[in-house]
Amino acid sequence: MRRLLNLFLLFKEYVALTVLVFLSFFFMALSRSAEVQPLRAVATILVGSLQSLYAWIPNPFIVSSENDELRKQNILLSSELAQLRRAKGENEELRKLLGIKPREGWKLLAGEIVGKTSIGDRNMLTLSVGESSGIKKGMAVMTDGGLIGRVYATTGGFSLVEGLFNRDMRVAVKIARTRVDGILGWEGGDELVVRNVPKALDVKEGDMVVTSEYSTFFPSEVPVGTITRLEPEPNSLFRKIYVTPAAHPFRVEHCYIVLKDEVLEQEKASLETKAAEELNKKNTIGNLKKKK
Amino acid sequence: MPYLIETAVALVLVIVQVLASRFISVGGAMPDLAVIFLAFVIIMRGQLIAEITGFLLGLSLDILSSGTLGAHALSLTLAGFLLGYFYNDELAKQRLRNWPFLLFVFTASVIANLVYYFFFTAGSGLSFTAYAMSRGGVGTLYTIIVAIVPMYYWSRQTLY
Repeated sequence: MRRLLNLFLLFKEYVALTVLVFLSFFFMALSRSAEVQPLRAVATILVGSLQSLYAWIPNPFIVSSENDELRKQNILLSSELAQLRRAKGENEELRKLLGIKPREGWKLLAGEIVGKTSIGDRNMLTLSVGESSGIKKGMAVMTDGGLIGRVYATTGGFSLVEGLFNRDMRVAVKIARTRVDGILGWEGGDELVVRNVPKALDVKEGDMVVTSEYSTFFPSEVPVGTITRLEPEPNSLFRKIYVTPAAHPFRVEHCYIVLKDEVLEQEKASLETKAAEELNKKNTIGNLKKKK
Repeated sequence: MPYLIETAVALVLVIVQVLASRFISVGGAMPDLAVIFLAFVIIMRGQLIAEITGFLLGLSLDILSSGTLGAHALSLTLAGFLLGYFYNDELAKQRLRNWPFLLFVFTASVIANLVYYFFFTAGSGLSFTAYAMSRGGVGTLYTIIVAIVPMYYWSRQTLY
């Protein structure tokens, strides 16, 4: 026993390293599991409460750039508003003629960003509104410019938002002009990337990218950004599309959470499940017939 | 008593690193206060304490920053373990007050960044080399600049 103890003491650094490395991997494996969520919630409350204490202190770098951005947007929006009003009228008239149900507007809830955490390129925002205001995990978060992320975790009074500049973030998007679909992600840097878009499809620099109907988290037609460059993927029929985001999560102080209509969402989900089940049934019957 | 003070300082540094990121981040790069503290522990306390401190610091960062649990813990543990080989009791105070402290900070930051970005980029399509070089490189530089402040302070103080 004493020998064993001596051996342990002799190699204590290595024993400790083995234990700590094992623990690190164990925690990594647990990282996204439900067991860790209470710990995350406590951390969110703690960090959120502390950040809300000094949230009133403006960051001069952000405030000045945000003001510049707002001025630019104001000019652009005022000219776009006139065009959109006319288009909206025409659209409503056409929908009425075709008998299509009018599109629902988004239900937005304003939230103040009380904290921004950027550790090791995981960009998170802490909002001063939480479950008590009707916010749930997965809800889309946007500014007047466009999409900035989605709710990652919530507590009673705070929400943690995962920004677009996050390696785990994937958004179903489409090109607003041509309705070409794609999956948007982040590969580092200041731009977002849409991959696997066939070269033959009509996509141009300057095109607006918006969320698509395929997204389960985000409502459709939310502006995401503008295409800045197109790059062919070597030895393939596809190309990479680089998108400059319409709103940068780290250059804003306020945002809006898109609240989901629970009843409509459930109705939509049940309808989609039913359709998928029927399709599966048809496929199985088809396969059986082929085998026969 | 020194251990209590050091624990308190470590806690404060981790909290500052998480809470003050919006004020101290420059172009997305942050000074790694945990690495600076870890370099201090490596120089003053040796390998075993350094790896345990690295693990606890990293885990606290992971929890408070909502990052991948265990990623910072692993990177700082390895940095503490590897640099712990260079621990020298007799030279400790001298190292803390001079450029070797910055060398320890630099090496600890490089090791921690390489390990962290390896796991961060694994299976994500992000380029490890590009990422570790750009983000990690700028972060390391920023960390060294910040580390000059405590080094200067210690150079003018009598250490306990």
